[in-house]
Amino acid sequence: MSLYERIGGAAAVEAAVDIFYRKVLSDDLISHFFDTVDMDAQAAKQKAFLTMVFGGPNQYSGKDLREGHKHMALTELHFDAVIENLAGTLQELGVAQTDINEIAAIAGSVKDDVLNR
Amino acid sequence: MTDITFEESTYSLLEGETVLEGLIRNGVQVPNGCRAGACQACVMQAQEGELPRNSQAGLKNTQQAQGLFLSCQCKPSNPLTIGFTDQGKSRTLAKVKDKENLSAQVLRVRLEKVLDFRPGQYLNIWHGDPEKPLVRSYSIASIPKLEDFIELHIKIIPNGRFSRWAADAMEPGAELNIQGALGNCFYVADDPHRPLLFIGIGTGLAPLYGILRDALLQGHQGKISLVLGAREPDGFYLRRELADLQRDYPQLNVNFVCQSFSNYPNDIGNTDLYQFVKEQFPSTKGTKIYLCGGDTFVRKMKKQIFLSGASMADIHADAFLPCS
Repeated sequence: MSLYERIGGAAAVEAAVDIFYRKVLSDDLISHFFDTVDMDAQAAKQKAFLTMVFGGPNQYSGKDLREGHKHMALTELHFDAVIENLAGTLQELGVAQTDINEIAAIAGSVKDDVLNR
Repeated sequence: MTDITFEESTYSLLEGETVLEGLIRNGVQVPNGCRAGACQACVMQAQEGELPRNSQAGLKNTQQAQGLFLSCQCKPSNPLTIGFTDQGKSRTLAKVKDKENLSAQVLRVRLEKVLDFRPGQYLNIWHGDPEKPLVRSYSIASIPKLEDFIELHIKIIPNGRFSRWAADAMEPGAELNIQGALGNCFYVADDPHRPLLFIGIGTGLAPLYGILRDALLQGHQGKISLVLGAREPDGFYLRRELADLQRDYPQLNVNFVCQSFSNYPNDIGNTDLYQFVKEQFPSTKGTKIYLCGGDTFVRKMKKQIFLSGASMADIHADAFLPCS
C-alpha cells in the first residue's frame, strides 16, 4: 500500500487542510506571508501541496514552486516552520510517526525550489 | 512580450500586463468591472493557445472547457488568439418596478423577475454608453419563490456614477441591462441542523437578507444568528422587517453592532464588530458562515472566523469591491 493510500488519500487531505492552514496562519514566524492572499485560493494551493507531500497525484513542478515563492525572500527558518506545522497537523490527526517522517522527507525534497537556490 | 491576436490584429503585452490592460492600452474596448477576477464582466474566449490556470478560476468547468477566461486575470506566457464570447452569461433587459429609500444611504430597487437566481447571488448592471458601459454588481435580496421581483439594495455614493443616477434620475419603467445571476454565496439545504452565522456591514445585508430568508423558507432547523455592523446607528436599515422575522422565527437572533457613536437606541450594541463576534461566537467549529460587505471587512472577518474553528469549505463570502 502506498503512503497516500495508507494515510487515507483525498479524505486525509480534506481533513488536514483546515488544521494545517490554521496552524500556518497562527504562526507569527510565517503568518504575514498570507496577509494579502485570497484565502480560498490559498486553501486550494495547500490542498495541492498536501496531496503532493502525502505522495498523491499532483501537478506540482519545481518550476511552479520556484515561481510561486521567488518574490518572498524565504529562509530556512520559514521553511522549517512550515514543516513543523505540517508535522503538528499530522500528529493531531493520529498519523503514525514513520509516515510523518516519510511525508517530511517528501516536503524536504522541494526545499531548494521553494528557497530559490 | 507575449503576443495576443484579437480580431486579426496582433498586440504585444508588456511585462506583467494582463490581457485586459494590454487591449485597453491599444484602444480596444473591453467591458470590465472589478478587475479582481470576481465580477466576470471581462470574460473572453481563447480560440488558440494555452491559458494560465488562474485566469479560469471561478468559472464553471463547462466554461473552462470552452476556453472562457477572465481577461483581467490573464498574464499569458504563450501567444493566444482570443475573442469576445456570447456564451458567458447573456444580458437581458429588466424594467424597474419601483424604487424606495430604505435609509438616507440605501436605495431599494425592484426589477422585473426576468432571470433565474438564488437569493444571495448577484447581477451586473450595464449602464450608459454601450460602447463604454459602466458595470456595477449588486446582490439580490429577494426570494424567487416568494416575491415577483429582483430586489437590490443600492448604496448611494455621493459621487457614484451609477448610484447617483439611480437615486436621482431613474424612474419606474426604466430598462436596465442586466447580466446574471452570478456568484456562489447562497444557501444549500444539505444539513438543516447546523448553526448558521451571518455577518455583514452596510448593504452586505442585501444578500444576507435573501440567504437568511431562503434558509428559513427551506426549513432550516438549527440556530441562526445575524450580526450587522455599522459605523453610525443610521447605517442600519430594514430593522422593522428583521424584528418581525425574529418574532416569527424563535431560532433567529439578530444583533446590531455599532462602533463609533455614544447615544444608542437600546437595541444596538456599542462595541467593535470583530470583538463582538469573538466574544459571542468563541468557537465557530461546525457553523456555516456567510460574510457580506466591503472587501477589507470580508478578508479580516474571514480569517478571524476560520481561526476560531469554522472550516474553509463552510465559509461563504461575498466581498464588495470598490469600482474603478
